[in-house]
Amino acid sequence: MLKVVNMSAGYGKLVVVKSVSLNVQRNEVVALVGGNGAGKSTLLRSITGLIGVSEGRVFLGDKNITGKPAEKIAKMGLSLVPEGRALFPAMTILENLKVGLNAGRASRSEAESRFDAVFELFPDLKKRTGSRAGDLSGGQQQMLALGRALMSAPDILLLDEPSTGLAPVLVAELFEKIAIMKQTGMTILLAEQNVHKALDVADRGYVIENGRIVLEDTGPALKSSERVQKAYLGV
Amino acid sequence: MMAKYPRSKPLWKLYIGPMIMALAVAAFPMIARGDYSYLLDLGRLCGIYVIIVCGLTLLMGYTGQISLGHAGFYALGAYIPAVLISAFHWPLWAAVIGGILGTAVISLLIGSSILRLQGNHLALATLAVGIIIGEGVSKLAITGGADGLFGLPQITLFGLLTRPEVRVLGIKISQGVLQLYFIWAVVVACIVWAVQLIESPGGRSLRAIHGDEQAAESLGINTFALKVKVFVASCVLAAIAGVLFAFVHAEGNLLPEEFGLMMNVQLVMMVVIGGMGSIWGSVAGGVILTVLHEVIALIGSAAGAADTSRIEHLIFGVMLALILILSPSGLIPGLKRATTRIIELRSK
Repeated sequence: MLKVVNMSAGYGKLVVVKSVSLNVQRNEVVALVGGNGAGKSTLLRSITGLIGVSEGRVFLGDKNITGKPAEKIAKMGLSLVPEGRALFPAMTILENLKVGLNAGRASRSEAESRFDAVFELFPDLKKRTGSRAGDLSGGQQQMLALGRALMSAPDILLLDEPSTGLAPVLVAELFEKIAIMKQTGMTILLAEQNVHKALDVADRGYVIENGRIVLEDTGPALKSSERVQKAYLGV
Repeated sequence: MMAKYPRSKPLWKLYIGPMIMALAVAAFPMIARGDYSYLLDLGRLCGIYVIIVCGLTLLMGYTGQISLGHAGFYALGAYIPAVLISAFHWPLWAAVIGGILGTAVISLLIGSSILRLQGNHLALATLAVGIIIGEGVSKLAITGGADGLFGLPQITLFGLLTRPEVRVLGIKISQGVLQLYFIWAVVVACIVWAVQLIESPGGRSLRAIHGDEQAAESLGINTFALKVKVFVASCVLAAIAGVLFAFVHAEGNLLPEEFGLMMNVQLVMMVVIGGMGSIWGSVAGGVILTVLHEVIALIGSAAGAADTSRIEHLIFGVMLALILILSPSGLIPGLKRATTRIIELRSK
């Protein structure tokens, strides 16, 4: 589904992501874990076309999407939920969700069924469709960011540190939602600092340090590895 | 299953405002008494500025792209057809269409090259465009230089606007009122178009660009193309206002003072004072500043002052500062919030 081959990317002359290769299969949840500044967000942003790729290639299915503009990549079925949510604060919940329809053109009935699916997964949003996104709590904003991305019915969803800034109870609720999305067969690449939760929900995972992939394995295997336990789980 | 595709706003809410505005303008000659030709003049000028500010609000308030040079496109709308008529002897309507299309093409070329800039850089680039066009029309021989162009034909609407008066259902309507109706009919059409645009998927995309440009891109919105489109649309509205100024309001006499540097500043002030994210704010901003400008000039002349421009700048500056302190989102959104708050307090 998504294949990254020896990709390097960064900001100007600063190379943040160095020769990274990874892949995500259909219906799979893959975690990308690492500390602050390891290059997770840069990797996700370069996959989605928001940052230029200096080396390597990115494939979505059999299509080479390297260097394509972000809006085209989104329309090809790859949706990013950025770090910090990046909602449109002056717009209502309903309007934010409608903007999400942009990437995946939908007939009226298809749009209705997408609204239904999003409101079923996040019932709180349905109760407050007229509220401004900027007036929502952090947890509700994260749910709206997820819902907005789901409105385009993406082939693969990229989540960039969704638990950042959320209280523990909301983090638990968030990962429950991700688990539900996994059960529905959604393909997800999840970048997270909360290694414990991310590896619990993921089928496989990658550990990224200083812009390079240093470990790759199944979720449970990574969780029990000495390196992950020492560096990220405080064991 | 949901009953129907959820709608952001009911239809009546979209069109009630333009309808009330149209009725208010239509009722004006029935209410006004005595010699109100001066008020008609002011009403026409208000309408012309509202059209420009409406476009500027779409660009600045909804899309978040600043322009300090829209007086330049207002000038192009007036001067391109004027030059086509005076120098190349084009018929009036062909020249008017040529002027609007010409402005669209020029704004497309300018927008495509400057809209990759952001913030202060974009503001300076648009200011430079405004100054270059403003200086151009006041210096070039073909535009009449500082003396301007005189004796231009007027838009007559098949002779309707040149009649001294017409009678509709027994009501006498003078030429000045007809011209007012014509200008405000264009204003209402522009407002209806703008309101529809804002509520459409395209309008939501514009607001998404304002909210977070990169997030909008990652949701499949071609932000650059949309920014160029809204820039061109706002310039076309400024050009339409220019046409109305030159060929309806100014009675065939076109002077470059109307399109100077201060006009760029005044237009932005109209947007900010009325309310950046509100089409009705653009109506309020356009009307309030135009009327205030005239009131200051009237008081100044009654007091024997030859030039009131300095006191006008002072009053406008103080007004802008007060609005930014008391209601940073502008007058109309501020009033809306205050009304909602009062209703909430009363219902408690």
